[in-house]
Amino acid sequence: MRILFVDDDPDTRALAIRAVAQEFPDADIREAPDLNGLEALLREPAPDILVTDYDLRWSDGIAVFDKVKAANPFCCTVMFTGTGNEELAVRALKHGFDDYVVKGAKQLRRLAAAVRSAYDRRRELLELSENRDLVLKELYHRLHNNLQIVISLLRMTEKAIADPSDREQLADLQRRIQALSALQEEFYRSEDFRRVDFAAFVERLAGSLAGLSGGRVRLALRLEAVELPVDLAVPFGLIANEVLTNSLKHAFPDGRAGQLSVTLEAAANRAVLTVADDGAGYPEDLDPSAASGVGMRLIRRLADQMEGEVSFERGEAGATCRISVPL
Amino acid sequence: MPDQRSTLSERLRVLIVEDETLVADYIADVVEEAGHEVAGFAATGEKALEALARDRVDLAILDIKLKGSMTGIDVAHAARDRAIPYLFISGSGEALTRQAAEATGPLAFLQKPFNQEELVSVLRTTAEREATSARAFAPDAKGQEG
Repeated sequence: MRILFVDDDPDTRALAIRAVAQEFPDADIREAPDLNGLEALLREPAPDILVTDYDLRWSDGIAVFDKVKAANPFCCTVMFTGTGNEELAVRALKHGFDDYVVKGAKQLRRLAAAVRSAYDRRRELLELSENRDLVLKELYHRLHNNLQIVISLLRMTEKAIADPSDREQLADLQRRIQALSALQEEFYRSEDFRRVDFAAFVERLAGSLAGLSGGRVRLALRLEAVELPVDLAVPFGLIANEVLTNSLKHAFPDGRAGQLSVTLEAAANRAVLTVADDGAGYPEDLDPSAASGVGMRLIRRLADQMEGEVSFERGEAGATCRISVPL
Repeated sequence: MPDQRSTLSERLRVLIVEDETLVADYIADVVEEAGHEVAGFAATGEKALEALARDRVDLAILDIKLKGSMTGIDVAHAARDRAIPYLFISGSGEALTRQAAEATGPLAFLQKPFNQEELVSVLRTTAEREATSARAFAPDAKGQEG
């Protein structure tokens, strides 16, 4: 453990060090008498504890705090000052100091106790956060393994079914679970676990679904950066999966080649996903928005949930589906 | 239009190292459906090492977290020493684990639940590469028997 003392006055530093060293006999103790000394020390492994005066000829305790915290955000910090008053004490604590001790011969024991309790509190917090990370990792691992087992079970069931259209339903279900899991992964990748990089998700999803065509279908992706909160990303992601799967399944029958354009735009508080193919187009007698399959039901229900709009267009060649969702 | 079947490719013997039986069965299914052969299953790193030493294995598919004291990354080192290509299929999303796994030089790292097509495509490329090197060593051979 490394303790850093910052004070202009060598005698005060010596007294403070002696008091704190009794509490932490094994600590590696460093002193910074000036700015150069401080900056040199911060290039070494950062301190775990900082004891600093407020009034320094070359700086002040708040600026020292900022430099040290930049090197080690978990460093615990105590201000030890003779020039202080209540106002400064409040300012130091508000700025993030763990404690504040007024200088004085009888205060040295208080200083040692303050450093000890600040350090113990910090350790406890660190342990809690490490535990939380471990639990999160374990949960993530379990979740993905369990989803893999679910897919394995579906596959097993699929193989026991003779009817091709029933089998196809199960294969679709596997793809939906895969899409959910890819969303989950993007969510886990995000720094704050709150938002999903939706463009990255669509890119991966389109890539892996297009792989099903064995290279016959070219992808043309134009994806603007869109970050979605999880409660939007999940329904929107499931819709994207349905629309893309639909195109790849029906637009290019009999080994036909073609292109699938996927566009994601963010404008005026809406996110718009457009999937357009140059394939066979919707059959003459089919109104896609009124179709009764599971896929279309999912698209309608999830769009309702997001208060979004879905439209289907017949192009000169192929079909276009557009989903617009308020953000 | 020519399809993949017209490409000269080897039928691979694949070792599946996975401690979750249902998942191992699923992987086996995908491997066999893609026209390859399952050389064996191992639920622990120790069993995997035995299989690598004993059987003819062209490719190993490795989970990272296994029963017993060894991990899939340990198995990867052993496979690499024997010049056997391998890929990971793991449920771990942890960056450090993934880095350690990728540092061993796998063919791929697939996240669970993995995309079947991605696995098939790794199998296809490996089989084609094996076939190319088989031809290089035996210019007249039309592919080997599995």
